[in-house]
Amino acid sequence: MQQISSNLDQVFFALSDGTRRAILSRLTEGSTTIGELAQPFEMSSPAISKHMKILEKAGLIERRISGRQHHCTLATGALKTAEEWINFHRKFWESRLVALEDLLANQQSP
Amino acid sequence: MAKANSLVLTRVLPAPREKVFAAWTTEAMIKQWFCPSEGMTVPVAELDVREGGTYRLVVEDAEGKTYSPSGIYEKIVPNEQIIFSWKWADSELITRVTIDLRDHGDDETELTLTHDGFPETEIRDRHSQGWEGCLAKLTTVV
Repeated sequence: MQQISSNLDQVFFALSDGTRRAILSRLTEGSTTIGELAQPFEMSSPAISKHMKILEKAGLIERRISGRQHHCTLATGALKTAEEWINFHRKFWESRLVALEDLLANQQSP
Repeated sequence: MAKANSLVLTRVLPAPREKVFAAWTTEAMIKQWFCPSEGMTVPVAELDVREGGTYRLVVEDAEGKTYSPSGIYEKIVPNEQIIFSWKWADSELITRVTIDLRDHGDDETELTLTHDGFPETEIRDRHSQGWEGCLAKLTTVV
């Protein structure tokens, strides 16, 4: 649990914003430049750049600089961490609900 | 996408809503089912069941390793709904669990459990936006 939770705050923080989720959705179609990424959003480049930094810090994207162009690629590792966290809780709750069901069933027929 | 990051489980349980509610809200009962497998126990269950009250559970496995969730009851509607925050002792992340209970035929209850991944970070996001605005203003007056 400890390993899984270490980066989660940053990942979920990054995912809590609609613009950042839209940026990630766009990147699932392939890597692109920051300029192209910014196009669909009515935002200044400093504002977009701030979102990119948050995504980068969470490990959700990777940035490669060639000349004056910044190329962005989706990094799937961090999303996988979030998925593992959800799966951990799914198993946790599923097993408990089975135990609850058993307890209630036994009480019904003493 | 927000939904993709939350967990929803639905079960039909063989007891009326009152009993299911009691299983979540009484210390003696929660200790009987809140451990995932044989060999595990729940040595600590402290439930202050009222809105704003806190809870703390300790689950212990056969090797003595403990797992401890705790949080605050945000909403309690007897026999209908329980909403509480959720934090593992070894994690900073605060999430939220919602339990909804509905009648299902005679003497059965449909339970829906929703575990949201990041309600708190959304709040923090709004807070940070608020602070940024304040600090921007502050820099113009100092």
